[in-house]
Amino acid sequence: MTDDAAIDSTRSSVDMTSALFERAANQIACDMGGEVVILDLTSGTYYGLDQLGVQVWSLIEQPASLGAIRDAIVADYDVDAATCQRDVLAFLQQMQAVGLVKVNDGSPV
Amino acid sequence: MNIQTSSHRTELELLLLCARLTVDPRSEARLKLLLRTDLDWDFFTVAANHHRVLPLVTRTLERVQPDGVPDATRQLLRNALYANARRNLRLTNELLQIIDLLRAENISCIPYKGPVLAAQIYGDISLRQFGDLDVIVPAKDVTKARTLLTARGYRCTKESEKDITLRRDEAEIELELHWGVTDVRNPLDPLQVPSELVWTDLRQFSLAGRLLLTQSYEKLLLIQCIHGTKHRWEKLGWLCDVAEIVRSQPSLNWHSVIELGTSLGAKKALFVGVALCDDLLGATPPSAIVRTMLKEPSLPSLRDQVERWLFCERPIPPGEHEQFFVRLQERPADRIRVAYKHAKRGLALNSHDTESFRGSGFLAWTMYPRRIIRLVREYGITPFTRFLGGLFQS
Repeated sequence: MTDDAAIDSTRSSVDMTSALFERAANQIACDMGGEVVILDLTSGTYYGLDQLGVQVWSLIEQPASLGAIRDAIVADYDVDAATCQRDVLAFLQQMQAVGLVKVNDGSPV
Repeated sequence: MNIQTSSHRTELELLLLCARLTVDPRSEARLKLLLRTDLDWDFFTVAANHHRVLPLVTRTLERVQPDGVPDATRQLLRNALYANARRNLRLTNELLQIIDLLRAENISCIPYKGPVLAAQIYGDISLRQFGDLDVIVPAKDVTKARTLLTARGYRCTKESEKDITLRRDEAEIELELHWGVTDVRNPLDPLQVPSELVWTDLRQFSLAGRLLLTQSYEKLLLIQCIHGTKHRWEKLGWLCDVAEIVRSQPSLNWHSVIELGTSLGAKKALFVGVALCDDLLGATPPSAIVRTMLKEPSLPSLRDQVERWLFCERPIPPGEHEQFFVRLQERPADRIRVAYKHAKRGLALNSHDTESFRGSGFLAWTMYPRRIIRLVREYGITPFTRFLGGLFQS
């Protein structure tokens, strides 16, 4: 999943900066040593993640905020925080759109 | 370890160093050294696949020194890793759907081996090679479960005293529906796990949003050792499963594992499995357990025997397997039981014996001594003395 599609972060009613992201339940992922393949059990579709995707996927094994994910990636890669945040958000929203990521805005259920 | 006599000892040593989830610094240094030697990569990849450790081995090589592997071999290993991952994902999806199906009809089920064992031990379903799916259900629910699976497109291909093999042709998936892990109705089976034991001391394991029933690590360790022993540890992958339990579970209740093993007459099988993992894969149990194992005088020779078989390039000499199974028995009655089983199997007449018999009906009994004479002529007296010797060895 790459970030080539510009995603309007305002289209969601959830405040993405304060929300927590985590992996959806109905999927299984395999780490292939630098690459990750995910099977969405609902649709039966396979997804392959690129380098950024693998890093983010690893960071959302437990619920994590956009800021925390961004900071972890900025610490590892030569990228500025704003660009990183935009790319990470685009990735997370794509993953959310296909049902592989859950977004929790902290509001009571 | 007993690989020194192999013509491919360097490749086998490399295989053993790679077939683990984590490689300690000393092993890593040795591994890197071996990668600088002239290796028979065709032998290495075939052996890795045969022993069902190809995913583990590929991952280790990719982590430790990917440029130490020739490009063509590296590509082949990566392709195999992907193919295995795709297959395992597909099988896991099917397993989860079967579990949902059985649960919807209030049938308790325990996924056995396969994807759940891979996730439980390796933390990733792609790191284990398995060919089929295994599910345990209570004996009372077997008929109902079979009906549900038939409606899903499965057809029965084999039935035994402890399981049914079913196949879903269009998906090319084979499933074994078990109601026990050993054949408890067969008193001649060398190692037994009572069916009721399978349903006690269960844990929950989360996979893809579902809480699945699994065995505790203590029971899993013992069951894996019993399974491996019954199959004479023919696959290194089975040892890797045990080794990773030993490595990843520092708080394992070894006392309870040994106690359970003793109560099942499977303590030696447990010790052999653990000793092999220590010697071949560097998974050493706590020192108190090592001391306990050292008190078992037969352990070194039983372990060495399996190590010889594991990478043996020639057929195993007749009588060795039988001797091994007899020596594994801890109780005299079990020794006699297992020896009787093997003797009966060894003396069973085959078409060669019956077709060469020209006598009349009342002389039919002579086919048995004639068979013994023929076997002695063919193999010599050694297999018989080896087998009988097993009865009196510790």
